[in-house]
Amino acid sequence: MSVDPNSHVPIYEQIIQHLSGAIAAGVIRAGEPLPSIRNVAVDLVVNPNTVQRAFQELERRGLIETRKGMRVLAAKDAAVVATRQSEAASKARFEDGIAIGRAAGIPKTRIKALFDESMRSKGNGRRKAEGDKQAE
Amino acid sequence: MTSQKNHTSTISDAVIDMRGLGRVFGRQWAVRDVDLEIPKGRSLGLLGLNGAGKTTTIKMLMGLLRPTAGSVSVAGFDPAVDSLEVKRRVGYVPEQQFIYKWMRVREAVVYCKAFYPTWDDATCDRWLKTLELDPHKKVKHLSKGMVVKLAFVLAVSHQPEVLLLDEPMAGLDPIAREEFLDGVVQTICDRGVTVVFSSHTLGDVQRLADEIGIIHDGRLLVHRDVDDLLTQTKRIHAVLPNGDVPTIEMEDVVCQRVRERELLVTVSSYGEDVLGQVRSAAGADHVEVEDLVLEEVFKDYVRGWRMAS
Amino acid sequence: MMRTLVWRDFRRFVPTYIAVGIMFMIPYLFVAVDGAYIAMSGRHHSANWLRDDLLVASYFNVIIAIAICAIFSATSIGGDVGDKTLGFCRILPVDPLIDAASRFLVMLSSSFLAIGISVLVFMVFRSIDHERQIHQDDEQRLVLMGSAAVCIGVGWLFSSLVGSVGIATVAGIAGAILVPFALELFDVSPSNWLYVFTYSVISIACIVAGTAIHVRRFQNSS
Repeated sequence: MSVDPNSHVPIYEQIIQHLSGAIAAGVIRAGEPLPSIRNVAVDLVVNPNTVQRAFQELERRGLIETRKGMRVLAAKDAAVVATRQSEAASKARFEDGIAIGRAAGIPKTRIKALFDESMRSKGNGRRKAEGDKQAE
Repeated sequence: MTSQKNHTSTISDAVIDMRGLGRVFGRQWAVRDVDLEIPKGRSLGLLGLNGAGKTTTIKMLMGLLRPTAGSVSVAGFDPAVDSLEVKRRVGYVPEQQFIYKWMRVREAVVYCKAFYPTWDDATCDRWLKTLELDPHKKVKHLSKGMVVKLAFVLAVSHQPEVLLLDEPMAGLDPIAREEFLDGVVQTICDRGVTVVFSSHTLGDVQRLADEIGIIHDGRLLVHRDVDDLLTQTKRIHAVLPNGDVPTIEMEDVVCQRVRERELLVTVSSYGEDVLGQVRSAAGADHVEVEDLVLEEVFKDYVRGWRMAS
Repeated sequence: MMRTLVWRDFRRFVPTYIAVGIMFMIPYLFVAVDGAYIAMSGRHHSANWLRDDLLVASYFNVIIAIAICAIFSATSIGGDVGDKTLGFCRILPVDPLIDAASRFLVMLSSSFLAIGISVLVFMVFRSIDHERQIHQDDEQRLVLMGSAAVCIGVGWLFSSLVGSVGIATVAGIAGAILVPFALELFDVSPSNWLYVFTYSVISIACIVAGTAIHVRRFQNSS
């Protein structure tokens, strides 16, 4: 895990995104411990207060729970919750994109076509990367 | 210009408290009317151009400069009155180090140790080892990065309640900088120190700070949680339909300027209503909102101040 | 804490001690040159030339020791102000008066040592030489002691004021020359109580003022 200290996304937000991503993808499964605040802070070289706030936010969202002895575990339905939240986040991004298009007066059908195009370009990118690997 | 504090704190838990703080050099106010409270365990990053007043502020906190106006309290003591009490509780790393060059690392440690009742040998030895400082080496034979690391060890071994870091990483190579930052992070983890630091490297500020203070011309232009500052400060681009430059009277405006046919308005607390206000004031039907990195936020505050004065 | 400060100040003086040692050798170097000259010329000479030369050299060293007091006192504060290492002392929780006391103590004991050694050597050579008596009386001793005090006082003041070892040393020596000159001008003889009084007042005033400036700089200058 690493953070970009020069991003417009606060480090706090970056940690949340990263950990909930890890939980959604099953890297950290329900009931498994998360790294300690101290370890995360020292690893990323960021203020432990920031890490703590990220953990609090993850707990509020129901992704992690704090047990006795300050052990932090991924919550029972963490993966489901995390996936749902990731869905909501990507939906919000789509909505932003649609809003930009609408504001510039682009018709709905064209926006939909642009969406499909982006989906394909992502896919193309992945296939290309695999092709490169085989070529090596 | 508004100065906002979004954290919930009471006066009693403020480890550092500045009220109406000011300092004059000759006829020039180097620092003026600074009000700042920092609760225990939090870290404040000070941003400002050279000569903006960061060093003067930090020196007043350390009791190395007497304020001309206002008052300061650090760990419950007034540095202008009880400077010894303050110095016993503060670890200070300035930009330039003046440790006696003839001293060996070990001698510098023994020398400093004599002045602190709370000095902890274990902490000191651990850090000397971690930072690979050879106790037998003379200070004059250390590289700049090494001297700064030694200054860090000397500043944390008496287990201070407060760390004052005045651009200590200026001119260090990336590895020494990382090690220094790492030391600060670990000290915050282990001891819950309250930190005030200034740096030109905004990435470092973003890593370390809970709160950010932007100082310009000796004034504190904004003091805010770093997360709020980054998520709520946004730049609105509005295309001006007929080239007229509107004046936008809003409290939230940090900076406003025109580039070509585009009006750029940076606001401190972005929301739909703010966007609507800018849109209608500019008479624009096409507006875009831009997220800002810390550097842009900083620049816009300075630009805004320059335009206003 | 005081022990550490005193250690620091003695350690700080090491290069000065070395320089002082070399300065003390200079008059004896002249003795050696004189000896070589006599040996080479092969002329008839007084059998006691060495005894005479050594006595004169050791007397010179007493004068040098007084000038050296100015060097010590100039280095005690001026050295740290000049190379900004005072900035390192200022961030430590040390009372500026204690810091000044340590500097003063080490400077004074070094000065006493320099004068003591030079006087001792002089007295040894004088005791060997019975025929030739260098005129020495209480008045002369008073003048030498007064000069040393002025060197120390003025050196201390300038050391704290300008933060340059060179300037402070020159100022200290100049003070030691100017004060007796001024007293002569006003017809104050060493036997007059005003003589001792003037020397004391000047030295003490300079030390107090120098200390005050040091404390002030320590507390709140940049």
